Amino acid sequence: MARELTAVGLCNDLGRALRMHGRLAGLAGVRVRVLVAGRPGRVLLRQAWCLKRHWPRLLLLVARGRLRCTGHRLHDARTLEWLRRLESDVGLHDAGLIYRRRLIDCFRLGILNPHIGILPAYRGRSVMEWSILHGDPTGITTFFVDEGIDTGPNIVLRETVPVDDHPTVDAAKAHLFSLDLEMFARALGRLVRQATPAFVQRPEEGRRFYVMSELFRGVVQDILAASKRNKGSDMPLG
Amino acid sequence: MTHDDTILRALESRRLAVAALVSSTEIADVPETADDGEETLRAVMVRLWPRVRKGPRTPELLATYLDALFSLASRAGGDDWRYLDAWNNAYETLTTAADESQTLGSATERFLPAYLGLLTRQCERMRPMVRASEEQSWPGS
Repeated sequence: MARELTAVGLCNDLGRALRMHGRLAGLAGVRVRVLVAGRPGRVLLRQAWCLKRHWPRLLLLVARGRLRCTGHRLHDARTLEWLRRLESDVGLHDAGLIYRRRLIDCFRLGILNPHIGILPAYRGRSVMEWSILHGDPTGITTFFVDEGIDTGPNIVLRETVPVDDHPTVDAAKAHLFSLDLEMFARALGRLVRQATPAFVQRPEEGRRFYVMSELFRGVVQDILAASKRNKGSDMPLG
Repeated sequence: MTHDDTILRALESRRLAVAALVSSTEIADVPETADDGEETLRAVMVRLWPRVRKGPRTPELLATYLDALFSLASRAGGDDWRYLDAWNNAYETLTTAADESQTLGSATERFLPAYLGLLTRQCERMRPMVRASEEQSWPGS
């Protein structure tokens, strides 16, 4: 029987937190909270526009216990204590940092990360670019993180996402990043139906990639441009 | 056009750019010394290269960086592009660095002939592959 899952979005940006809550709050069988953590000065300065524009919704979410903003960092003992007390099932990665074990352990199942590469083959940095350079499919793998670089064993979803329609590396990458909330929604939906991972990766599988040079990035750019041109020339005439 | 062809064109173009900077016509051959290539590559890309990029570039840092990079030379001449790309990144960092100190100058002098050797080796390795792939695409020709 399907059970209700509780998830906490781990954000460092109010706007992102609102978007995440907006996309995931209606999911059947999932109760979503969002946490915005960071140095108060920095968070407030960066997000003044969001406060000004969305304050009624923000107040409502805070009043309902769906949004919490803290001036402490994510790994701060006070933040961890609050997360532990929630006894949530899943954390949702949106804070742009490397997670330590003490934070991962605050969640029954762990912290989900939509990684813009196919695991276990493509771990690390610039993985979309490396996939294209090798002629491999691009895509997104949603998995539970561990302390390593994309080595968390439990993979919930692995989907190929073609980027041929995007003429530049930046546009292709932005497209993949833009799918993160969709991937969270699909992964949570799957976890509601089935608790076991779809795939299990082992540390010895796959390779770790690093920031790609300008030279190879230029090659990837040419490959993308050529693939868009070829696609255009495949269109029927008349 | 295959990806190999696009890669070869980029490598040829970089090889010409590097050759223009190297005064000697002798192409340096560097022996491989790293036992654990994967770990050395990680050290180069995660620990050393970001420090070289950011500066300050002390002689010790540059020497450690280049020693580690040189120990990956034969892997960088093979088909795992990550190793050559560590050299590509080094070239882009060393030749565009704002400071033109003597330290950086001598590191670049040590680096460039070896990089040129690697690019030449890679281009020679790739040309037959690109030719074969073109022949497969045009079986009648």
